[in-house]
Amino acid sequence: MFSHILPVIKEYMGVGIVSVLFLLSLFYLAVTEKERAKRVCFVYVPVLVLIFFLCPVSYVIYGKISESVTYYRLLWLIPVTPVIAYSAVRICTRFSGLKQNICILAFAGLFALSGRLMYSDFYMIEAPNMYHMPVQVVDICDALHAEGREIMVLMPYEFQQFVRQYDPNICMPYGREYMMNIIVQTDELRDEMMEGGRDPEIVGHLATERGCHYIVVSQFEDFAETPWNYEEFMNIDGYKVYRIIEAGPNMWALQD
Amino acid sequence: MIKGIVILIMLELLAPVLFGLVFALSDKNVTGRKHLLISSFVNGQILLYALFQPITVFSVFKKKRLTYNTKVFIIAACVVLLVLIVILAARYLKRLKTVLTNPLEKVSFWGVAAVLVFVFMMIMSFFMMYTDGDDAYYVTTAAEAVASDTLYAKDPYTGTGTVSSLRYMSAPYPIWIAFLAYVSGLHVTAVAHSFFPWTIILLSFSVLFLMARSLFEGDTKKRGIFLFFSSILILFGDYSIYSPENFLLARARQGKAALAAFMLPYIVCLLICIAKELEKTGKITLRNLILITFAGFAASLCSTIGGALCLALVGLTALCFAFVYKNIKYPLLMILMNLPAEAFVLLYLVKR
Repeated sequence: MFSHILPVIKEYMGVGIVSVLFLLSLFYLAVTEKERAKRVCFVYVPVLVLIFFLCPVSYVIYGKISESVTYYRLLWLIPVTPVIAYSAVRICTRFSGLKQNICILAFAGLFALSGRLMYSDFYMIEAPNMYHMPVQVVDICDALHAEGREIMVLMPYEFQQFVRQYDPNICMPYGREYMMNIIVQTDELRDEMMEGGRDPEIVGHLATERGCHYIVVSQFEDFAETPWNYEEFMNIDGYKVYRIIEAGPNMWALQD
Repeated sequence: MIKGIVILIMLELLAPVLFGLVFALSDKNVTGRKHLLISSFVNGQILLYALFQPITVFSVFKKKRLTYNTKVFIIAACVVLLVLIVILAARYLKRLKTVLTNPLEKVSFWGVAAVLVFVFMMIMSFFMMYTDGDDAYYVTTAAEAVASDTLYAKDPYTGTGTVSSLRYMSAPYPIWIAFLAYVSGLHVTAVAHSFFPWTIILLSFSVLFLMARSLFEGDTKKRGIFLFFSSILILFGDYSIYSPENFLLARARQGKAALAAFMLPYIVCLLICIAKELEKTGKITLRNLILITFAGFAASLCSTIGGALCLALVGLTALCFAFVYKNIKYPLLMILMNLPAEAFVLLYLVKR
């Protein structure tokens, strides 16, 4: 069971410096903190949580209640930031005047070096709009939006997680579950688009069957020829939009 | 747009302050205006979350509409507010006047530095975006609720009419976002990504402020340093994608971020206050016991596991209290007061 728990700790710790700082703070408080209330909340409880976390029974129980992959959330019960900050304050305030200020700045520098600036994260980028969505998603969704109706659109892989956040009236034959590998059933259309040869004949037939009013593809990943039963509708932000010519069964027809 | 933003500010700032005023005034340690404002803001938000949770879970399982849920919640909130106003008028009006007339406390240099770091993080939450795949579930659920006036009726990933996982339905935090967007009239996606995260950052800072008050009574300078260190640790908290700091600054619109960065630190803060109370008087006030219940409900709104994590934290702390303070009655009461929130965990376990 430890083979399951230890990787969780490793991933949660990241580089590990913050965890080392936390353990040092815990030790420092265990030795020096006299007030019982603070000892309970900042020493005893975190230690108990750690023991609880490392206990295989907890892992099993947690797995029954939730998913084992979120077991790291048990570590959220430990107030890591307050414990480190509190210990650092106690150390700094042993000095006074200039020495104290130098000590504060040194700790602040240590904390900055121990982690990583959130805004330097690879996935953190400047927001192009207040929806925090790629501009292309907003433009394409606005262009295809049908007031008061739901439309089915085959969207490119890179848009799948954004489209329905912005416009839930746009449905998709397959969505982000593909990216998460939650594939519970075979999906010929998805497989043809994502892993197959993107044959325009096959894609056209399958997309019509699935009721797709539009097919959107990047111009770099365009079909060899126009998909069956679809016509070129527009080019927008580097993406080509194909529109269905003749609506399939159980599908409402688009109007110009 | 401006009207929507004003409504949103009223819902996210003014409403919590109004709802939390009685809870703040019932805390004898609250003596200054700043402390009163922040304590009201935090406790009011907890109360609103706690009220929203059972109403919304009922609506979700009964397949009600978002408009129905919103109306019921607003009516319930108005009734609660009325009761709170009566309590305020009957018991705390004099104290409110006293607190409001007290001179403003000094602010330390490091306290100002901490505020500046938090303001920076709040501004950045508007201008920076973090791409997280889970938004495809959470934000879409909120967007779908507003667009189709349903609650968890469709699969968020595709929009096809399949029932959502029960795991998510018993922790309807996306519906809170939907509620804010519906009432303000702003686009749900804009609310979730741009106009909501700053609230959670502000709540997180407010909880740290209250914690600092409990840890360093009467020492403004130490409180300021504590807040400054905390702000730096949060700003540079991207050491792991699982850290509460990462959730706060990258994924604040998701319930689990509110749980990690606001709810659980709030419970720790509450437990510190209770520990001090037990040490001084050997008792726990009814106010704090009620807040434990509310915290459990609010944590359940944020995440299915929220209620269970809350119980684990309260339970482990109660165990320590029993040994350290040689007191069984009040630690047991703490656990008992937290049990109603476990109904949502049980509901999920039974129904799944």
